[in-house]
Amino acid sequence: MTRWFEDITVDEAFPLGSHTFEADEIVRFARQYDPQYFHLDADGAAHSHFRGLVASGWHTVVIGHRKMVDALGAEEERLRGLGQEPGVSGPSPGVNRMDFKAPVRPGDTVTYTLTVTGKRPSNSIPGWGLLFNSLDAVNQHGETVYHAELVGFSKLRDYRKPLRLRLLEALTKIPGLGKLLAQRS
Amino acid sequence: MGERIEFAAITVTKEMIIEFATEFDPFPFHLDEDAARKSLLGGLASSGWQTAGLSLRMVTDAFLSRVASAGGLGFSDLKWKRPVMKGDTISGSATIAELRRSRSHPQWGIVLVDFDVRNQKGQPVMSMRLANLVETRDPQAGTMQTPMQPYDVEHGGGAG
Repeated sequence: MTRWFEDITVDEAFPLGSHTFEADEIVRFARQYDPQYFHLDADGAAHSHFRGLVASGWHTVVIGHRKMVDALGAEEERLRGLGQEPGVSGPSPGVNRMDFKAPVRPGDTVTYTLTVTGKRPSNSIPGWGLLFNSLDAVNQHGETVYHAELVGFSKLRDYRKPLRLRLLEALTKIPGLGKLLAQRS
Repeated sequence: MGERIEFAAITVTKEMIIEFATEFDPFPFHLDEDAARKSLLGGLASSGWQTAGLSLRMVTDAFLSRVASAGGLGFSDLKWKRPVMKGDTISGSATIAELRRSRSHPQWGIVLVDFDVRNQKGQPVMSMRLANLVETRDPQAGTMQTPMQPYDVEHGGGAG
């Protein structure tokens, strides 16, 4: 999120835009990451239960991720344009669920929407928060093609390091002592 | 059930990281060494989705291409445990965690596969549970109490 962790409202939906999947990109992705015949070749796929070429579910997911990165980038620029300092997104620790619900075929347009469903400060990384996000991908007929529950890191704006941590950092800056502390821990 | 499939190893180069990130994950920390050093990742590392994609490729080569796979249903509990840094070699294994006939489509079986992906130091980098449909040898046998194993795979063979 380009908003600071503290400013994010739970249950607000963010439209991420749409992508139309073409046959050549479906095949190109599948060749590299998911070479199963119904993702690779229209003639072969016609004999599968899909009755035609379908995109790898993972392809539809990484395009969704790309739409999210682009939306965050655009929002970041907008905020900078207004003279505001945008929030900082970090890497993701994981994905709780990903359900592929309907196949995506060449020419299908998929629209992606992100909803923050929960947030809390990280226990493992001081200064960062965790965002729990839902991502819904819907085709031009209104059918859900996938639903995902994702987790992402977001930097805290109002974080102040605990005294213990600041003391420890100050100590490690004293020449010689830092090494000694590192060896002991 | 419990069967383990070993993956062939893949070395992740800087060029691969930047190529994937440019197309699918253009966060500065996947594209630029300086930005990467200043990020939580601590250096140029692959997109988690690239690690997942490469893992999918490894399981497709080692397993799904040898069974009558009928497509993926999704996955759960995907955890990116450690960044895959440029030059790292990833490998790992998949274990068949569950195998059952689909309730809604008894002509198919559902196989759950647990991934354990590790780097060259043996440290875990990613885990997840993949759910995949497989065709069954005997589609009429949907009412059987214990389904036949609807897949046929060699033991322990890497993709080579």
